[in-house]
Amino acid sequence: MLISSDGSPSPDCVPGAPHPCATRSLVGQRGAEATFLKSIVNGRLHHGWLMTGPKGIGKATLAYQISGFLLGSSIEGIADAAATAFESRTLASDPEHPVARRIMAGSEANFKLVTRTLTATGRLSDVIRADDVRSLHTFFGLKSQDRRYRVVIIDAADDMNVQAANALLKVLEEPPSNAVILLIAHQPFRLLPTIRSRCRLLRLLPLEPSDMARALVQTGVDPIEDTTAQILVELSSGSVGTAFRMLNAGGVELYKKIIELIASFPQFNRQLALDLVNTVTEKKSGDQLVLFFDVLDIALSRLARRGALGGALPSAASQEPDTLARLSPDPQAARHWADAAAQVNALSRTGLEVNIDPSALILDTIFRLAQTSKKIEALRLK
Amino acid sequence: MKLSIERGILLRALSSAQAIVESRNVIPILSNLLFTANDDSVTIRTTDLQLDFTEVIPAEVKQKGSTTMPATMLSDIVRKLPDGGVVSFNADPKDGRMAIHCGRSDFSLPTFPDADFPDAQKVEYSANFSISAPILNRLFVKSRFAMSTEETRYYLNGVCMHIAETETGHVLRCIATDGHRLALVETEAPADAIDMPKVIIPRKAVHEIVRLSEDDDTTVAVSISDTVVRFATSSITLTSRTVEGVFPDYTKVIPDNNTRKLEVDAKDFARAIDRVSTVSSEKTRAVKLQIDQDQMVMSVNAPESGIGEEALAVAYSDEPMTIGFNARFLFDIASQVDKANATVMLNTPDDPTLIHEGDDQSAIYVVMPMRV
Repeated sequence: MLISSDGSPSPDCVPGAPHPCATRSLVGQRGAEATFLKSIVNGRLHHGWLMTGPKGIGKATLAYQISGFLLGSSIEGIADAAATAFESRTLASDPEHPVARRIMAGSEANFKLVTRTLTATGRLSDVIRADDVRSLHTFFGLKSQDRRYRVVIIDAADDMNVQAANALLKVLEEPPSNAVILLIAHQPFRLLPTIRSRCRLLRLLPLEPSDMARALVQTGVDPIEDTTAQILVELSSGSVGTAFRMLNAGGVELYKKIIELIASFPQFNRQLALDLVNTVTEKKSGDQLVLFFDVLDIALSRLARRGALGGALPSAASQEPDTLARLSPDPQAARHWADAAAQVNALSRTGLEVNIDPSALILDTIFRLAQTSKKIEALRLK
Repeated sequence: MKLSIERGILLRALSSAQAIVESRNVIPILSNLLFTANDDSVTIRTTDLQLDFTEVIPAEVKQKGSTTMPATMLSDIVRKLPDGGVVSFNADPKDGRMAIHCGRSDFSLPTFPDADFPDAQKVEYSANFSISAPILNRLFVKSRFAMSTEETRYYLNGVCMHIAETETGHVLRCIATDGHRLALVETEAPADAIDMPKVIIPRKAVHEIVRLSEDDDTTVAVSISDTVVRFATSSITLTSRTVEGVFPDYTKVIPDNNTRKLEVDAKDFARAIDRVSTVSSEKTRAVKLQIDQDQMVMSVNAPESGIGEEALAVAYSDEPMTIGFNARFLFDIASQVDKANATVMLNTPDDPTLIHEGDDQSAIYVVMPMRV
């Protein structure tokens, strides 16, 4: 299965959440679905689609649904199928449909997933390499045995290195007959402009709170209250993937702890800091550390936003609005917090790469933030 | 599902089936084989999504059913089981495992549901004909060495099969080329084949077809459509997708004005090339042929590795000439010749050379010369 059954790493899936190809229905992306269906109904199905939007909002899910839809009917019958789907306003198909099953199992002859693969040493590659993309030559080199579309998903196009991108460019420039290539891009501006210009843009939007609650239930989370959903939407900027991580890996609690700690700024509260270190390091997995920095990044960007835009943000934790207002009262402070966020980002990246002792890394980060807070305080008093 | 099969029969089927499974497969279901128990037989199917292998073998079936099992592992197990044993299979629907028993050995293999296994596509073929195995075998064996391995020109990565009209009537033709050499083999077309579309059969399928048609006494049922080809014996069916793209117009490449005729003993020729080319440089593999009255001197002069030379008696009565070839290409062709003599038709040292077997025109080879 594409969902690794043997425990090997699957690069395109949030840990613990169902794989996008197994997600039954897509939530909150009616607009994108309609745009795609309309292009078929109008007889203008483009061969390259660039699906953009933040990570975790359903781009891959939509890509798999499009694949299932295109492969589920013959080329001649696709326009009628699209018209029907357009009326019922959804692309979703039965997950037990043979085509859907085969896509999920990786045994559909007209479907190909290009993603990061294992290197010769058995490690998951950091990038999609040229050879991964060149496997498309073999895929497109053979005729589709039953005259259907041939669909390729590139998940994620941002992962391609320059050589891979150039190899793909060749395919996009001279598309094989009946080919549809779906590029999933979290940051489309990192792609080669030549790739962007050859694809039609399909923009997916961050989720609304009500959609978020529905989408999370679908991923197997217990039904959540509206307030929690609201918090999650705030913290995850409308991304189900991020929200799932926040909820499942204890991100919400972590956020509350971080807010509690920065509430004590500009003082450096040693006890709270050590407490936070313990929470992050007790599980002894690198994931928690990554989560900590992600959550901290959210907190810092909220601080910066509060200062720059003024006015209260929807609250994501108790005592949060007051804390944010006190620490980041004006645009000048916001700038300092934004700088701090960039610094923390660089620090954490180096720290994670060279495997620094997590406790030291966290304490150092908190100390720097307390310093920033002191600086702002001093400026304000001046 | 409950059944038993004789070990020898099962092993033979499994080793053919396993050849289709890609060894470095990342998709678990494709490294499995589909195992279907019918009334008194078992169907074994493997696929790599391009080529599909199905074999039906006799079995004593107590309970029908269908599942998938790891192909390589099953094949390894059966290979190591004692000769003459009977292998019994018993699927446990509860834990989704297949219990295998033979003599005092017991195994249990994980299974995947058969619904995940790729479908055998129903294809409408535009031509169905049967052809005797040795004739089919010859068509592919003699042409396959010239297939290209270059990924960028994918349409050359296979053998093109089509019906051509000649002075003597319709012929079934197989052509392969990599741009440096070309092999064209033909046979009288079976009556039902006249309407078949021109198809390019991919490399892996070509090798499997050769293997399928090795048995001299069988007849192979061939079905051709634009997108899929099928080759079937009484028990084995091979189905392959065809290569996308247009096979180049090869007729322009085959020279018709080569008048200098050289005849040479094919076996001696092949052996001599092989010997002299031992010292040729890995990169160019150039061999020089100095042709004179009834004599040909083959020489390799590679500055870094050495010099090799061999003289060969030939039948040649035209003007003396010197021509160079890639030794590998020449050797491949010379090894294909079954007849006693290879006839080499030459023009100038810059023009393509035509080689055929004795006076038989049904298998011709073209090779481009090299400057030496």
